Amino acid sequence: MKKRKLKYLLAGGIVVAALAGMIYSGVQESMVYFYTPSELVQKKDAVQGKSLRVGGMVVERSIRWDPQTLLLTFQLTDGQGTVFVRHKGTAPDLFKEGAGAVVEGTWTPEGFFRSSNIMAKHSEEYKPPAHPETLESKKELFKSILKEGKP
Amino acid sequence: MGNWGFVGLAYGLALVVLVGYLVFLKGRLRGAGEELAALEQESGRRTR
Amino acid sequence: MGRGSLATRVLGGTAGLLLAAGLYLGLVVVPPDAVQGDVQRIMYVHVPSIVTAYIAFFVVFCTSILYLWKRDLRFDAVAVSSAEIGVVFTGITLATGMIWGKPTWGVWWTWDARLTLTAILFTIYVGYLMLRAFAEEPLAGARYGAVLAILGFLDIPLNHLAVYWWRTLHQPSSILRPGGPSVASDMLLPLAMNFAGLVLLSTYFLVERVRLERLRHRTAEVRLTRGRRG
Repeated sequence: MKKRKLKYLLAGGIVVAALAGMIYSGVQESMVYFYTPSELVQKKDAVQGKSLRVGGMVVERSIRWDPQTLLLTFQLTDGQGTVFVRHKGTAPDLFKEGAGAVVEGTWTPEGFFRSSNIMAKHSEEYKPPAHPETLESKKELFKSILKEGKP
Repeated sequence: MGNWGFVGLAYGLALVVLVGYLVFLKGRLRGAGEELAALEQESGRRTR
Repeated sequence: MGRGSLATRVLGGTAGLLLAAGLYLGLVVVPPDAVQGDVQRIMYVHVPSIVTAYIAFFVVFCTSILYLWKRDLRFDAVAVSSAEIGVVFTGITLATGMIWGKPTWGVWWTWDARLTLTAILFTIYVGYLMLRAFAEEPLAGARYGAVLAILGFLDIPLNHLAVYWWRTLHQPSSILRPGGPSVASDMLLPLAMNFAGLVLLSTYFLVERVRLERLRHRTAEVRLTRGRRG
């Protein structure tokens, strides 16, 4: 009887440990999945050198791409703050000016964000190409980045 | 891989999982049915 | 023995027909998305899969409560069967989501709240199935399993709200959202068709899986009475 109980506890323990691990490393991290540009500008001294994510809208006419050095530079904004981003390599297809993006990397003492990974963030709106992207869908994406709209 | 490659991969994988589960389920049903039939036959013989 | 009743076969056949129609509509008839192009068609399998999984886990939640309350093993048979089906559809959601993420977001996976909570949901019910399979005392396994299944279900409302509470890479829900669906009306039809097809298919799976559980119960019963007799 006692041995059986021990087995249950062991099996349960393994599952609970796996879950706790995911909750700790996963949810703890995803509570603040990314900072907005204005948040980063505020606490840039505190987070220097730490790996983190920044999410915002790609500023119009800010993308510069050098095919020789594979250097991609652009600015991310949330309307209040703007962050300069430097990235070595290519970006996903949906990454473009005026669209949402989340970048992973570190804030450098030189005053720009060194990105090691670019992720494109799109809205939850889907429609055929006949209808052009509305201002409304841009606003929705913007809102989901700032987290102003709660259900 | 193009756009359609990803679409094919997603739909193909979903199909394989669903068909695989169906085959797995039917196999277990057959096994359990045969086991019960054999058991009932055996115990029927015993009581006779 | 391997075949179900006529009604279950009609159920399975209808599910197949609906899915074939939904597949044709989603892959051929409906236009591609304005922003993403053809790759957005993965939505027609990804979204119906997770809603089907949620429904399956809701069935587990209800029948687990009923089992703890009434101590009737018929409720437990439905719970363990539906959990298996929920795991299958959560697996399909995770896989198709990763395949959709790579060409659009640029990554297969990221630890944002929505993705993390879905992975946790999958792990909870895989753990549940392991507990049920390895329990040496089936009745104790059923009791502990029911508690785990009820607590585990809380992950689903949390996951639905996650995209509103926390910043995520995953976009908010397109269908169950304040203000109605944000999907163009012509794209809603294949979505609804596949959803109906998957719900019917999962019902068919459930009926057959419960039949398997009953066969196992009967086998155990026969073994028990035979053991008693001699």
